[in-house]
Amino acid sequence: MSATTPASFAGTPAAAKRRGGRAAITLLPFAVLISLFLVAPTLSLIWGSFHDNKTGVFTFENYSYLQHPLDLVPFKNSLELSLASTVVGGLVGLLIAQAIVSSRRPIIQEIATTFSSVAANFAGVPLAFAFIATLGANGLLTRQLLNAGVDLYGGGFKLYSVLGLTIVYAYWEIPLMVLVMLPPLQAMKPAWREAAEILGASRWQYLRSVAIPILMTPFISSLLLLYANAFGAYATAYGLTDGFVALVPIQISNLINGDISFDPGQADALAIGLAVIMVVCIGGRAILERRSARWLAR
Amino acid sequence: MSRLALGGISKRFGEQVAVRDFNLTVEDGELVSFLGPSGCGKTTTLRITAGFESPDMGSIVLDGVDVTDLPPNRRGMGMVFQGYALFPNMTAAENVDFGLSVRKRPAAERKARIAELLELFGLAHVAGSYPHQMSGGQQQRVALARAVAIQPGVLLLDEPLSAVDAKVREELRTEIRRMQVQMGITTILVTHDQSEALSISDRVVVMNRGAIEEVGTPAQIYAEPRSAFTARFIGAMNEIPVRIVSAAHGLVERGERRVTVAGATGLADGELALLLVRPESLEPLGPTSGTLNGDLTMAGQVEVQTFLGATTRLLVREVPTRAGDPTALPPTQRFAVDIPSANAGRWPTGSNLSVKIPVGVSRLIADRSAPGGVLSSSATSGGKAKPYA
Ligand SMILES: Nc1ncnc2c1ncn2[C@@H]1O[C@H](COP(=O)(O)OP(=O)(O)OP(=O)(O)O)[C@@H](O)[C@H]1O
Ligand SMILES: [Mg+2]
Repeated sequence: MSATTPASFAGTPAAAKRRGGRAAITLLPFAVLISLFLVAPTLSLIWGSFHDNKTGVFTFENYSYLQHPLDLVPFKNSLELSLASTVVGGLVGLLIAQAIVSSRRPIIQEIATTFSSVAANFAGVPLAFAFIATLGANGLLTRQLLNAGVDLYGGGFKLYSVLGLTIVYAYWEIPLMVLVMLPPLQAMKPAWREAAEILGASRWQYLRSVAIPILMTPFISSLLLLYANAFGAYATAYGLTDGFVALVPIQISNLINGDISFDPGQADALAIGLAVIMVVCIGGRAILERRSARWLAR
Repeated sequence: MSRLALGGISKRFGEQVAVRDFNLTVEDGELVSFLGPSGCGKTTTLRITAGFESPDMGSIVLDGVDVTDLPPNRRGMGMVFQGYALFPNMTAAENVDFGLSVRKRPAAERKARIAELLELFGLAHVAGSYPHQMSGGQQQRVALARAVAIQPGVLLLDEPLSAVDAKVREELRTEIRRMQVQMGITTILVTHDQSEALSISDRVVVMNRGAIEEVGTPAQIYAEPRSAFTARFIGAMNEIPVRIVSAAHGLVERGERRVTVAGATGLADGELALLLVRPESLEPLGPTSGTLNGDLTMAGQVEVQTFLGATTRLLVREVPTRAGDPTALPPTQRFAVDIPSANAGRWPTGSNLSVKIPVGVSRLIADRSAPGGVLSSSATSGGKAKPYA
């Protein structure tokens, strides 16, 4: 208990105002942070995307990519890559998370959580390099498979393709899925299963009527997170392909840094497109989370 | 024919024996409680009955059919779990419907049955609510309605009231009993709350360390416990030290007085033993009421008065008649005397009180467990026996 007396809780309007003021002060650093790193860049992006970066004149020209099929390729690639790595990461991650929970060993669950949070963050150039060294044209595994009579690259596989990138992305998407699905799976009460059982339900009836409906919300919400995560990933793809793959984040970077294709206005417009997809994912997640939090509250 | 027969059930978890040689038959329409301290195997026995655990030995016979090897979903029993275990994604009505829909009963029949049960349990107004929108008492009722909806052969309740507050608990236990009698459902209730067990059961099974200590009606268990464990576990109990003078003749001594009691056989001469007496059996002595030489007495100073409703409990610190008396209560312990609340004014805090110890209704046990002094637990608060200190 704090030293505050009950009387001061019932305080005067003036006291209430003071408290409100104090609350505002404590929120100030957060407000500064948000404006500096979220609001200001977003506004600048929006402004930039509607202006010609040479003349500074208002224009819709930067959004012309929406009308040219060729300019939409990065979006198509990014959407496909994100979808593929979300499906792979989501399903494999879900199975692993369920296996971890089924082990009923707290120590395994702790180790898995720690490992997953490390692995989920192992991305970027080091990961790209690790994969080039393993699955690249001259990678260790590629060579060994070749010796064993399996010619990956001869068979059409390329690490720098959407399929190759899917495998690389799965490397952190799987642990991320494990990380976000462990809590809801752990919150499933064994007594629900037993209650269904004693009421006469088969295993499948329990899954269909109880477990799947309860877990559907956190599952979809996790997929949205994986999707957003894959869509926004940049460093890994860049490290792997030196910028020669048409993905939205890479394209943005080329438009800002590139010599030939320098066009910050169009980069801003692309970034707005990316932001829209992010907002849809994260917003959908927020709505779903609220529901599942009620069901899985302990 | 008995509805349910548990025969020679034993179960161990590793080295830990959870249930040992448990034998019980439950008659049709009977409510039997399993009562005992934490960890004595109540839940394990219930889960074995339901089929969630398989016994190492023994059999479960339901309506003359051995169901020991049947999975839970084919036993046709109903169960209410400690935390209710309502399905959070279903409304009250959908929860009640679950067992019926799994059994593929016709829609019209289901609808009628749900309505009837929700009505019976006073839940009609929350039929469309989800568990997280209901109070603890409402969730508890839904869990009961869901369990009885399938017209189970036996209803199993594991501490069904432990998660609701005291007032709702008393209300609900009466309601459970009313429903149970009305529907004639054979029921096993697991509880560690003795007032719950005593108030609504036909019979009480007192358990201790995985084994049945004693089975009897609530009145038998309370008034004529056959085992020392039961005597000490149920209700409030004073444990008054006496010295065995002659075990053969049942002669015991306390202070300056000697009396003969039953149950001294097996004790050694000169040994200290404990006389178990309920607080309401100790008779306060007025200034005019004398005692016979054959009566044991104890006297002391009232330290605390606890108002219990119709009666008031006095906690008394004994003032021994002689210094160094081995049969005096240890100085840290008090004895309890229940008197009609109307008379409480005669023994205010700080006053002196003498009581007669009625030897006839007391029980003698060896002092080997040596908690000494006065053990007691209140019959209203439930819970485990604890020494007054
Ligand atoms: N699944 C299990 N694994 C290992 N030991 C167990 C298991 N279930 C119960 N036990 C042990 O068996 C003993 C009996 O447990 P049980 O849960 O039946 O007691 P209880 O009478 O229901 O106690 P409480 O009043 O605390 O619920 C305890 O010592 C407990 O630790
Ligand atoms: Mg238990």
